[in-house]
Amino acid sequence: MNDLDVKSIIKLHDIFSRKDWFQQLGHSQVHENFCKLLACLNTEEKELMLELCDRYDWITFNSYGKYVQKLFEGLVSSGIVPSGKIYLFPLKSKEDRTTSKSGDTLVYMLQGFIHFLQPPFNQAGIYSIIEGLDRTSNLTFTMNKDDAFFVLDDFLGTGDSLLKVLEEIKQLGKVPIEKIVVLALVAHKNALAILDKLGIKYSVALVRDKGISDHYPEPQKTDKISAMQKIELKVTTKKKFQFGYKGSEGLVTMIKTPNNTFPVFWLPYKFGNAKLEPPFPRFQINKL
Amino acid sequence: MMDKELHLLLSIVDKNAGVEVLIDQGLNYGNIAILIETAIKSGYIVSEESDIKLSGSGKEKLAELRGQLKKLDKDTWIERKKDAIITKLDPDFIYLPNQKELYF
Repeated sequence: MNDLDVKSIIKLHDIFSRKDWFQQLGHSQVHENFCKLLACLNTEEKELMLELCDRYDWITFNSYGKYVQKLFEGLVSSGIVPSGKIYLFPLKSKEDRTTSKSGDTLVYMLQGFIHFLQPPFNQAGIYSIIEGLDRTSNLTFTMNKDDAFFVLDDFLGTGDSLLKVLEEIKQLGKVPIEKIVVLALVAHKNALAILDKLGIKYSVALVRDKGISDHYPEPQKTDKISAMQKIELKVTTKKKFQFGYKGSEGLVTMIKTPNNTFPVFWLPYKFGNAKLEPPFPRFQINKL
Repeated sequence: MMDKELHLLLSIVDKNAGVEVLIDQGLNYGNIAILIETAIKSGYIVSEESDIKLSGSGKEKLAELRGQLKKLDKDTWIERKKDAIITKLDPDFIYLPNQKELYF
């Protein structure tokens, strides 16, 4: 490992303090691993990583409630207030029906937050949970004029899984497209562009651009892209995730870090002979 | 704040070096960040937008700590080469070219 300079440590410490990250559970490991990563980089690369860190969203489980509240405030301010029943559907495709996904967590948590929401969303009686599309097809499920079908997830990246699920909902033939409302805590602009194109309503707590391409003007952009390519060559081994899944350039960690985030933040790496942990490791527990 | 660690940190800032020497002392980056923060609050280090340097009092403190922590006894800064030390022989010891062979 290379040597880390005092200036970078001060800058990182300032970012962590400003973002209140020292109050987050696990902050010491994140800070330590971030410093170890910076120690592998040259001045230009360190500068980029610190800038990205400054714009990074670390949304822990504890803050989900605040964002859920924001989602429903967004619905009220956009005039999306159904007077009928609301069907809650966690965003997951048929093939994931037996897997616990982030949308399930959100739907489960919502049950604990209902009484904090703005009227009429604070009435538990207006909701029904739909656990999976297969089950939906077996239910005697008919949507009335004033009902709404809420599709929930914590993060929308490229919009690939969203499109897949919307197609599956369409195939059921039970939910008219105008009844669908997508709710996500964080979404990338390209996922929202898909919804706009399809004419589907949505409410999102945080909207985010691509971390480098949409942030810097030229000629800075080219330099920053080149710096990230060098960082990835140095510490990232999997080409598949360069700049995040499908080049999403994400800068977010939720309960789990989405693979849309730049892999340097979540992919374990090797530097010289040392095997190092990234700041926000993305764990997947295997099923028996 | 330990004098030894503060001395190392002030030397690092003075020479514009990296913090590896503090890592070698067993500190992690979190400890180092706290050490730096304390040194800034104590007025020893001045952190400006593009520059990190010792203040006047920082330079004085560094000189003071250098004096205090200077190792005059060479045994404390030159480590003994233990593998080169030969065990003392017994006065009755008879040297045989091959200790396992009892006949000539």
